[in-house]
Amino acid sequence: MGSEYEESRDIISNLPDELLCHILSFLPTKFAVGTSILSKRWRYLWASVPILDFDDELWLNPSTLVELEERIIMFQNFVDGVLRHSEVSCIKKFRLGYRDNNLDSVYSWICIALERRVQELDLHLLIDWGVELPPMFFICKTLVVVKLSCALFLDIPTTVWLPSLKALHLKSVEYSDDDSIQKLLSGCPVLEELVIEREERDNQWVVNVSNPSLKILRIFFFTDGFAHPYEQEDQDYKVVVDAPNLEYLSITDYLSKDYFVKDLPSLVKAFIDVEQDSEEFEESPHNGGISYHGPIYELLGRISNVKCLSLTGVTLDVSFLCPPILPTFHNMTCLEFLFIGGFNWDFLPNFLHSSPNLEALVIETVCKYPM
Amino acid sequence: MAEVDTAVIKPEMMKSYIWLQTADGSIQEVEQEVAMFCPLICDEIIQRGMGSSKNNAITLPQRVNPVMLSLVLDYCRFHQVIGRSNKERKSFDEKFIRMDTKRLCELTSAADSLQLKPLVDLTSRALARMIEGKTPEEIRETFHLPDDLTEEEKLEPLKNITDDPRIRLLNRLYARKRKELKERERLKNVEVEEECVDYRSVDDLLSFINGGNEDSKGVGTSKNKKKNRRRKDQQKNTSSNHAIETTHKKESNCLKSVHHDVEINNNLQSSPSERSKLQDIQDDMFSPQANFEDGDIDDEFDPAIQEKIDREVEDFERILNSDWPERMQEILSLGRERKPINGNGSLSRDG
Repeated sequence: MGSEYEESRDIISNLPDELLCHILSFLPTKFAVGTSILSKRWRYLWASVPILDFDDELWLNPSTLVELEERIIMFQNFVDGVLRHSEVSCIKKFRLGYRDNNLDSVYSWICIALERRVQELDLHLLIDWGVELPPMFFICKTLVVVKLSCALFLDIPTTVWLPSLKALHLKSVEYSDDDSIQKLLSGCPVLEELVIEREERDNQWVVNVSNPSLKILRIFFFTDGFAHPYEQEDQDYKVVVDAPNLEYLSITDYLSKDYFVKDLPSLVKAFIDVEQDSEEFEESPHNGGISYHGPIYELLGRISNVKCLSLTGVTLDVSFLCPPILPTFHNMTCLEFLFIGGFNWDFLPNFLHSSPNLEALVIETVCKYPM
Repeated sequence: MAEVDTAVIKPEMMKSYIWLQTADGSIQEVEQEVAMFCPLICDEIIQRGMGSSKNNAITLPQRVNPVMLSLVLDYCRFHQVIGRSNKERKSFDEKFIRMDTKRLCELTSAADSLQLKPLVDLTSRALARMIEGKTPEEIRETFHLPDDLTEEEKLEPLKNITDDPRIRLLNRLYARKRKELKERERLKNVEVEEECVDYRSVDDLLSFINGGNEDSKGVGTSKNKKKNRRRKDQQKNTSSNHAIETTHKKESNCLKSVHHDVEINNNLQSSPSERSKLQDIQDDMFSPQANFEDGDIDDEFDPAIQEKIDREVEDFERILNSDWPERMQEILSLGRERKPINGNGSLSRDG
């Protein structure tokens, strides 16, 4: 009765291979591979899991005594080994978290993933200098989602063709010049979502986002707290957006000075969190007084057809001296203010007057900025 | 959430019901809108017109017994309501998933057969959480898995694929590349390390191609065990890290000799394997370990032999060229030539 009884209790192993692989796909690859010593049934399952998730954090366990270098080598060997023996010819997702400066490994791993028709590529690198992407990355037919984070140097080749790419996240990436982002976007015919998290000194003065299919755009740009060499330069950071199909726009940007936004007829929701220069005040004959004509209000003018607008206290902060001239928000049904600390009621009447169809007004005090 | 086909016209006043039959023969009535949340049932109703009466009740797949059906329907009943917030749904899911392992497995199976993907994902994630970070014994206990692998099999994580010359060559090229990289590293370092001690990169290969120890526990393992212990002590020896010299001779020797004593994990071999965490097992499984027969260890790095090996590798490289797509070759040589590589051909992997 012994083994039969046990067998009858081993329900999970009766699940079909696909289901077991599906379960394993939710695990970091390290643990998925570990199941190979559980029992006969589980021995080779991991090799068919189409999701590869490597994070060297799981190897850099400070509680064990093995030295860091050894750990890194173990990790590299592990990734090499898994890639060699995985039987998956179409990788659904390849995720890599890596913080060693041995870039050759990374380069070859990316190549292998691309060769195996990877659909989602998620690279999170914490290294001292940029790793370059292989040329085949820029002409990969299968990539649908790409997330690049930290210290990747994007030297965009002349030919970019990513026919399946729908979502692109660029975080803390260093570019070769002002045209980088645009060169990249011009080769993405079906791109729907673009998220750019910038850092200073990433070689982009003008972020030029121009793409006909784009629906969601998020820009993040903070100061990193260090001394700003750009302050000595005459150049200002600027943002240019030309995306006629854009439905959602989110800008959290404390460094750019100008925003040039072309018409966004499809815009549904916008979140604006920008810091304004107090030097934008000027005399205005209209009101017989001082008024504010900063870029932020031009921006608001360009997105005046939006349905839901969220503004932060930082955005509105500068205008405490005088009421701004607002466009009329014909379509706006929902207006949201997010503040840290106190709320300045001065321009609320202006907004209410400019929003004839407003249905909901939300005022929220938050502890953190929403991302 | 559910892509319910609205082609089915529902009477305004009354809820319509659908008849479902489980594998044990029992038939029950279920609100149509709830049942339609399952794609399989949805198809049966719409495309095959089934379920409208007791006589043409929809026969559910084998894996859906009455208990499971009840659970699935509970899930559907909650989630098919459109107005619910994400928070509510998440909260429901968290409570819903609290059941014993057996039931969770059966539910995964049932949901899968009904093509109810959100529920499959929910249960799969829960099962994955039960695996993550646990030791093998813990996992076996949780799921009542039989411990039916031999010790060798536990050491050999994969099929034995020594026979495939392409894999062998792949490994050589990898090893060669790694050796080059390490040499570069070494040149940067001030100290010159001993060359003969560390064979990590080769072990690395072997741990995959050759599989487990040729010597089973009973036969002639004393040598290995001795090395195990010694290596265990040497684990902290970091000097060898920087001076990893691939000895190609050893490589070829070992590749030729099948199942040469590869220690994938000295921990595993001595029963503490069962006690060590899965994490450590993985580390050791794929980490290169020194473990050659005494005869091989004493070799110094002979430049003449090195040359010979290089030529051999080059020969193999040429053979490789005729077998594999050119692209793979480029990857292996890790050349940085910026040749645009056309298209995105798949790596032909025939198992």
